[in-house]
Amino acid sequence: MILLISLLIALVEVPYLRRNAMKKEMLVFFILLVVGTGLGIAESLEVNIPNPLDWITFVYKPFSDFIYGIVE
Amino acid sequence: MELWNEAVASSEAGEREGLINNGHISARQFMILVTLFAIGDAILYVPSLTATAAKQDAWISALIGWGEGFLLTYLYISLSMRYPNKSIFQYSEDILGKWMGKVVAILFITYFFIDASLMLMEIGDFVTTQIMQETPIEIILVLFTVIIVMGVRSGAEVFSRVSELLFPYFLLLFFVLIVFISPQIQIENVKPVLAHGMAPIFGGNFRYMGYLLETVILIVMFPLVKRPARAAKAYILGSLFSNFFLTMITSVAILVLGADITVLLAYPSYTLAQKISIGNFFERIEVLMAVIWFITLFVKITICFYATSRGIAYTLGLRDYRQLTFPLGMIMIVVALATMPNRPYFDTFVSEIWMPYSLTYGLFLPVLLLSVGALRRKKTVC
Repeated sequence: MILLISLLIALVEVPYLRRNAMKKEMLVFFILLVVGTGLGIAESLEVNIPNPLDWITFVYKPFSDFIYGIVE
Repeated sequence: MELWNEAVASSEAGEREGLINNGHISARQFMILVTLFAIGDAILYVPSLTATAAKQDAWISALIGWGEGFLLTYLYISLSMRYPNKSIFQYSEDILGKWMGKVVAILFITYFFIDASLMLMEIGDFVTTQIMQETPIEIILVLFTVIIVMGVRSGAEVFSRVSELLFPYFLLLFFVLIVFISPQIQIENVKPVLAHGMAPIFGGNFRYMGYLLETVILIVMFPLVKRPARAAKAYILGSLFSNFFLTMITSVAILVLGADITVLLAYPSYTLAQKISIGNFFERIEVLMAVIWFITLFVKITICFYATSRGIAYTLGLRDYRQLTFPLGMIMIVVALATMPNRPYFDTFVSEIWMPYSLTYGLFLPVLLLSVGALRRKKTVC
């Protein structure tokens, strides 16, 4: 299903990119598409995908404690 | 008809000017974008978030937000006015040099992207918990993403016009909500005022500020307005308008539901709409009211997503951002699903981590860009 969708997206976009000879655009497009497809498949197989919010929490937790420590 | 001709003419002009430059928006449209953007998901979360700390004084927290909103917008304006007709991704390179500039641009892009996925998740969570409990959340996310990708692909000019069209409906629904719920207002709910001094009010206010800081994303839209001076005015006006709406909804939530219940509810604004009952006859109009935040969230996610794809295209030196939207949309759905393993996790994140995180992008980085830019200019003069 996800592969089908990515194939469809590629079919829509590639002719346009090729017509305008956008090599760099093509590269970025395919990198993103592969990442998206990979993540989609991982999600559907219920693989544990790392949560970006965990990283943000890790970085900002001390700062947050400091800020809310002032007022509460 | 005239408008249509104008639209066709301007879109043709846009095509001639090159692909990346997709037209201009008027100052009025920019103001509406700012208003709807800043209301965004805040209309759903702000009442309970501010009430967590400030209790019955949440409305004071929101009132203080007016001043903060004004100052923050002033900061963004002074940054944008320094480099008119350049986007933030361009002038961050001008100011900090090529590599540092790119690093800052990438940081901003991640912020935009995380914000977009979070809001996508919020809408998915809202629909699946409140309206359609049986539908799997993925379906809702995919449907929403398709609409957003369509909006972004058609360009800034088009979705600015759409938001201009939606704005009257938003106003109408919002005032219908306020007017019909007003018979149930109980003044006792806000008493005692300032029972615990000012500290908890600032606690509530900080959480509110986390949302105000997100308006930094509109810096990306700023150069699309032809005349910077008018855009600046629109930016400030829009931010004041949105503060007005948010203060209103917070006060009404506290006045009708009381502070304790507002804190407990996931979506106080929706509960407000559920409580509307005029003569036991005019009731159950909450889904109509949900259209309010469908409109504002659509505008907000579209702008975030637009900023993300535009930013990626700029930093990598691509000629067009449109091809990136579909793959990015796919990534966004998965990231959105990953960001909310469960509701309490998300609530702690929003109430504790989001404000410091936004503070980095909404305050520190703009101040850094502004001060380094000012220093550089002085150096070249000497």
